[in-house]
Amino acid sequence: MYSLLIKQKDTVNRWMERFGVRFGIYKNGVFNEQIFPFDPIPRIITNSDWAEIEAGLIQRVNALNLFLEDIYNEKRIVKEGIIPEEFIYSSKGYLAQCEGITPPKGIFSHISGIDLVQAKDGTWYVLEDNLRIPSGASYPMIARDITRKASPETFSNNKVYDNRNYSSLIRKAMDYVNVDNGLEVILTPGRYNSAYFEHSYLAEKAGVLLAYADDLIVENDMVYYKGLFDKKERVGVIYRRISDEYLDPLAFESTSLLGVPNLMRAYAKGHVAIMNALGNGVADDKGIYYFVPKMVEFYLGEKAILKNAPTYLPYFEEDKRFVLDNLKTLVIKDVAEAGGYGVMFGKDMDQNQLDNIRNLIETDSRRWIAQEVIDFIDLEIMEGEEKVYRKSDLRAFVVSEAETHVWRSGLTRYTRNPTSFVVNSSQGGGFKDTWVMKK
Amino acid sequence: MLRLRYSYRTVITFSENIFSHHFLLRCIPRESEAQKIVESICTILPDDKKTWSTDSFGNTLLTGYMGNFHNYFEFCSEGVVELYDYKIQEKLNPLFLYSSKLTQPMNKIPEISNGIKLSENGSVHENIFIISNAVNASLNYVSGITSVHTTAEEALALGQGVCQDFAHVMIAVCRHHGIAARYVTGFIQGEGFTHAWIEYHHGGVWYAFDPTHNRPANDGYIKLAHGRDYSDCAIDKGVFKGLAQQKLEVFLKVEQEQ
Amino acid sequence: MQTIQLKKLNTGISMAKANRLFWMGRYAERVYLALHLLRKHNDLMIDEDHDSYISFCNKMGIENRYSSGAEFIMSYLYSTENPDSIINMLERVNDNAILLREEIMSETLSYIQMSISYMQKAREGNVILSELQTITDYILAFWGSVDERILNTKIRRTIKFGKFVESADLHIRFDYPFDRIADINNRLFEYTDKDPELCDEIKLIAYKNKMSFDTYKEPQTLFYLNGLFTA
Repeated sequence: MYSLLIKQKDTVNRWMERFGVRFGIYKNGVFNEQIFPFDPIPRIITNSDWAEIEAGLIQRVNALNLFLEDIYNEKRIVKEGIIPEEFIYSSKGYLAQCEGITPPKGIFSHISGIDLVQAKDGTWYVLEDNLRIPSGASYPMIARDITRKASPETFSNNKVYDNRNYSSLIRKAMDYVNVDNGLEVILTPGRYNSAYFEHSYLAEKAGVLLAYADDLIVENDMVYYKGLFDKKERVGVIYRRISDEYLDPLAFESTSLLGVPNLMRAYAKGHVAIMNALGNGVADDKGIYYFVPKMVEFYLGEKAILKNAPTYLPYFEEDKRFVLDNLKTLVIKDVAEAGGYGVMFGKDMDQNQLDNIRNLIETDSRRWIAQEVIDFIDLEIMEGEEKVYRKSDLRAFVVSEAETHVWRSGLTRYTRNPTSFVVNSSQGGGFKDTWVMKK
Repeated sequence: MLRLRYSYRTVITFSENIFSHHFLLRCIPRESEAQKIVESICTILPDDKKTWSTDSFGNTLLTGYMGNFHNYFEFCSEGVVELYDYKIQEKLNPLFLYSSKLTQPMNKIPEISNGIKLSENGSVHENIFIISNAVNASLNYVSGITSVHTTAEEALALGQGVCQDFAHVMIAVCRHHGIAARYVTGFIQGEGFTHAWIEYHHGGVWYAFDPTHNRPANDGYIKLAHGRDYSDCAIDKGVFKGLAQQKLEVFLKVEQEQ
Repeated sequence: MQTIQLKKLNTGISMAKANRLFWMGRYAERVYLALHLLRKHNDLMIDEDHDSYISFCNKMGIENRYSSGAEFIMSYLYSTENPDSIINMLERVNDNAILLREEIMSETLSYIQMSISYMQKAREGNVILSELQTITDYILAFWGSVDERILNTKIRRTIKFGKFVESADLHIRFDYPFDRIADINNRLFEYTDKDPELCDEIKLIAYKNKMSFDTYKEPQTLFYLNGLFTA
């Protein structure tokens, strides 16, 4: 299917270089822009698999959006005993400052990155929801543009959904929530952010302005883009690539230079849309993850289509006993960590480490979750001229505007280290294109 | 009922001109059944352009922006309040049962909390006294030794602090014992500095206690704002551009209205 | 009747962006002209004047930190430690260009990306000067792309403003004849006169006053020229 494409590997790499497809990485404190390693063998998802994934993702993200709306307002799901209040109020991602705020058009998670894996029996599992600033979609998008140039036959022979519409999905989402038809901007922390390529590429392709914190000011609870000669233009929507705590130094971390002072005031008054909304961290917390299928039932009255990886919450006595009895076979995750950090495999730990983690789980049970290790499908990658198998995952992107759309592609990341289970670009993996087949 | 006139003025002088200055103030007294606002005005210099809003805790905010060069910043909040019995009826927001950034327990908070013997038959009010006594036994009032970023744990380790630290430790211990507590900023009659105390929740009512003075905060306490800890109720915050030394002067007068 | 909904045009130039546009233009022109002038001086060094690189440094206004013509060429082209080197000039172009992708488009940016990649490979292989014609070709393609593909007039003109300030500056420094300078000025004035927002009017008048056969080489001329841009 893709043998012609593999032959064009060098051409593809040359084009990647030409377009500056890079990924920033800090090594020993020094910033480096590297080419994000691209593997020419695509991940292929059949049309029937996709139909189920798509339906499952739409359902999941809709429920998550309803959950966020509920949590920052009525909190029915807590009052009705589905989720213990402790999981909300102790979550690092819960922002009390957002209480009572309903963002423009009621959308909290405009762009959701849902991480999935496929087990050897073919079942897809959701590993993680990313509802804050999921990144990575630009890579398969530009990779497709390049592979179509490098090997047109590959794409005339296979019926693959085009994925270059990602930027127009983003633009539609921005248009939809734009307040008073203001300027549309992507707010970037700057070149030394690992995903800077993505910020600038999406700004180009979506036709929106790329702004730095200094370019924006808040006056009379309105956000303005500061043009030359003090020409100020009203901003209606900010697709921010800066995390909550740095977004407004007067509302949160007061030492932040990346943020826009008093942005929170403009947002609270509904004068600007921020995508994704502030406070979404409460819904993609690793502890809350356990409850997502229950949210689907609670808010939508449906059974969840997509499965979670089997998860145990030591917070519940019964689960705690099970986890402590089966530590060696489980993977333990620290709910406060992200990006592949704070993930420990029982099978890799020595007695000392096991005792240590046992102790931590007993004393601070809310901080941990345990999951069964899913034996997921390895994907072929090219290593030199040779095909080898590596662990991989799939980040699907779901865009919510008037309707919820799933982008018909995704970021497939793989580990380059053959013994590693952790697939994450901050930890030195590569990526593949993801083909969703039309038939 | 006690009728108090307050006048609170802060002047910040900068050694050099600064610009692009954003500010956020919580310097207006909060209305409740325990505190009625009779008169309240606020002026800001050098440019009195400000926007009113309310944060998620219901505190009044004044925010604004001064783009042009200036070398001083001044705000003055004045008015008259009527104080009634310091009891605020309000359904409990469970948020105040959980630890927050500056009250996060590590080792010291559980240690001091577990060392406190609460009376089993006694009321919450009695227990609050017991807790405050314990807090006072482990902290000495020393000004200038802690900062606005000091956590309850850090203050305990130091054994010293100011009203902010007393309030943080007290809140942390209360929460450890399952008593909902929150941080309050405001003024006290006869004192020339802004002050911090706590409120604790019992039977659908918030009561106030002043751990620094180790007494209930009943008479002469004018409340500005409340939140989980100091970081939710800072009285004035600002960011600006320009390199300058700052000099801060605070003038506060709270007197009984004749 | 059908109504056509127009998409919001998201345009805006902040002060920082204007600066980047201008300096990207200047540095790109500097790379192009430095290569051009280097070829001319290198040609002299073959048989006519072995020390021609010294006058190159003097005119360019850079420190002569070299002990021979051969050392000069390699260091001036490739040394990342040499602040005056062409590879560093290219990095400066890139530093600005990479922050302007959404304005100049990936297509235009790609010529700078290719220059950087080519230059880095050339550096590893100690490639001789004549092979750097490829860089010259890329830069010319970059200018073609700026002219033809950037539709926002303000964006395009700010870049070109930078380009012609640099061009006038280097031509004056390298003693080009007056009529040649006058031609370059005509191009420059297209941006300063028709689009005066970004230009310091007083310095412009002063610069124009210096444009006579007797005074155009005076140091004051370059001072006024380099002060034209204000953002």
